[in-house]
Amino acid sequence: MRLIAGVDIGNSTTEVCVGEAAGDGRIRFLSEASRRTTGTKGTEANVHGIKAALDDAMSRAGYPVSDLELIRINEAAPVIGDTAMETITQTVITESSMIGHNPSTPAGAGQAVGYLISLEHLMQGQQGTPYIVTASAKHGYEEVAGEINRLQGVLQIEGMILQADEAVLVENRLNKKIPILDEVREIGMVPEGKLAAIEVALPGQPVRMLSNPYGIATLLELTPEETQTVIPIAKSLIGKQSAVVIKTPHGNVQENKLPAGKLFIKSDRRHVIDIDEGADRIMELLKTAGAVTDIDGEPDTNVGNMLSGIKKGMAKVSHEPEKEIRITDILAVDTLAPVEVGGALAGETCMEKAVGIAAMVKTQKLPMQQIASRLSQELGVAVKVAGVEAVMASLGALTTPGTKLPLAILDMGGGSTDAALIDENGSIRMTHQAGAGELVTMLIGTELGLSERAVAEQIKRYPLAKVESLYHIRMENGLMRFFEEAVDPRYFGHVVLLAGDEMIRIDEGIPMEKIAAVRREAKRKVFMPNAMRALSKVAPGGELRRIPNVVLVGGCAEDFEIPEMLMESLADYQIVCGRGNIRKTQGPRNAVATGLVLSHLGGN
Amino acid sequence: MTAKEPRILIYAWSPDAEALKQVCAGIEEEGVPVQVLLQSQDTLDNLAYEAAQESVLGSGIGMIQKDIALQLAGCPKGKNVFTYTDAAEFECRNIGANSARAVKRLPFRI
Repeated sequence: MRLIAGVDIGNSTTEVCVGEAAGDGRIRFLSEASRRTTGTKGTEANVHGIKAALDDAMSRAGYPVSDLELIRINEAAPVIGDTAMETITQTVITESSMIGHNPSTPAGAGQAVGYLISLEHLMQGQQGTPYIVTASAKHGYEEVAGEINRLQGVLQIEGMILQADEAVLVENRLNKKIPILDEVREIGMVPEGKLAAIEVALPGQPVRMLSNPYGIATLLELTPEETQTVIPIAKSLIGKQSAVVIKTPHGNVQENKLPAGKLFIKSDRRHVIDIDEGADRIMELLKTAGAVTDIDGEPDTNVGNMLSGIKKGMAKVSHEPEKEIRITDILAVDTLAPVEVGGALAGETCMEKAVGIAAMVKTQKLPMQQIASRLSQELGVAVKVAGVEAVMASLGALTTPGTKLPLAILDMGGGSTDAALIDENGSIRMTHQAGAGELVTMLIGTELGLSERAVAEQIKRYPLAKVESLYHIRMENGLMRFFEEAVDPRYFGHVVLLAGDEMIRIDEGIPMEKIAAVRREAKRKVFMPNAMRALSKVAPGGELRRIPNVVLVGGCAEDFEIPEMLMESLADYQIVCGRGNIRKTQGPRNAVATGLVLSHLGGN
Repeated sequence: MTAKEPRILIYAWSPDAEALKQVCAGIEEEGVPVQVLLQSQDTLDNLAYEAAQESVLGSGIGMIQKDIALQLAGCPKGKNVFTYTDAAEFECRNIGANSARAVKRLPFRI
């Protein structure tokens, strides 16, 4: 009995397939395993992950690792990917401050203008001056309401800002109704004596006056120049339930604008494009530029910093000098990123136009031989670097029922989207494109303003649901699911992710519909253009219609909606396209590892 | 009986006056109507369960002195959503708010 293992080292996962070469020249597959890739693909750090995956697969097959006759590892494509995101416009710091938030229960819809004064100092208030009273949480609702009722006749009290969640309680006890904001945690940061405008939205509506620059100008009597400076404030208050804008006339006026910059694409000549023109124009230029040798950004601009950041990172992982690093492909996508607004008292942000870029760097041939020798040394098993990744993936993909040559594969991984086309003669064309799963994760993270990458990763992976009662959830497709036992009350009313039998709570308070829309759009923005780009590069004569069938493989082919998105759009070109099912059992995973085991036969 | 109006019901047996006031304040802030009905001696689980069953909104609170339980219609007796013994002021406020947030299908304050 001869045991052979195929090992595929990818950007994010390392996959193993174990097969037995029987006497009759057939391969019997025994087991498989998948582990997170340790270190950057193609470095000796990978050995750790490979060993773990081999252990896993061999114990499943019921043999010790030392029983292996041969380990075949892939000649990994010499490309590594990275992603970066930069806003195109830098927000101007303004001379006003503001608070905008969504308390669940503000009171007394409307707006009010007045000078800020704390409840403690209200006794010293001047007659005839309009006031907005602030009260910290140490004053109870009965005390606050009592004070206001007592002084309302004497002083002109126009509105209130409370720290505690008691706006309705106070309002219910007031003789004269005024707008009241509550749950303002940073009440200590609200400066006394300054002119402020507050607004509480009507139920079911967002604020109208303070999310409009002219509205702020009307309430705070701003000059046209001052109105210009409150635009970011107005923008960041869009969609809020309640808001405060404070005029701080002696604040620092700083304009801090970093130009967005130009992108330089080098092929046979140098192409220049302004990043302001947007992702579509950049991608169009890239398409017509021919064979790209390097991509660069204008120094000291946003895009320049972004690309040099990518190159620095790449230089570090590949141990090559930075000036040797060449970016040979990028995928640019338009996106929105939250930018903190100057003058925000509670970290409010506004969404600014941004561009997300996945870049791909061609490295020197990866030191696979070093990995092989090290692995062989540590395990005492022969290790062979065998076969080009794309060929192996195609071989593996051919084990999908219903496929035949010529066959194209679209390998959607973490760092890059690769395509290969094999025809009946076994000749192969292949391409690697920057941008895949990692870019999707980054887009989801920035557009939803998530602080943790792990959350964005989970949102990418799992469908959403809302816990509508302790006994049922409503899924994003509208269906309901009921439980025998009550769910933990901590999940009640929350948006959750359905990860198998487990529910993961999303704490950000973003509506389910918004999360779903951002998620789908991020996937579409990355994989639609990339699938088209990759497939037309390998298609005979660059014509998509001449590809008869496409098998989707790689981690992102397992996604619950990406394959369907691609199938729909490729159907327009009359291409049979579907998720691979390697060895009839593995789904789209394990194609390369399977191909490596299979190719052992062909090699002999 | 006015129990058939849409209200959260509080079934209380010799409740602590200040605690009851805080529970009601929690509900009032959320803008949901509430009605307190004093009951004869019973267990906390029973009071909460009966209150939830009787409430048209399906949300009920049982209270004995400073022991408070929130129950929702359809949940088995004894499986209270929240139970506090000798509740602190903020716990009283929260359980009131949560009884209302259950009605409004909003996440609980914990």
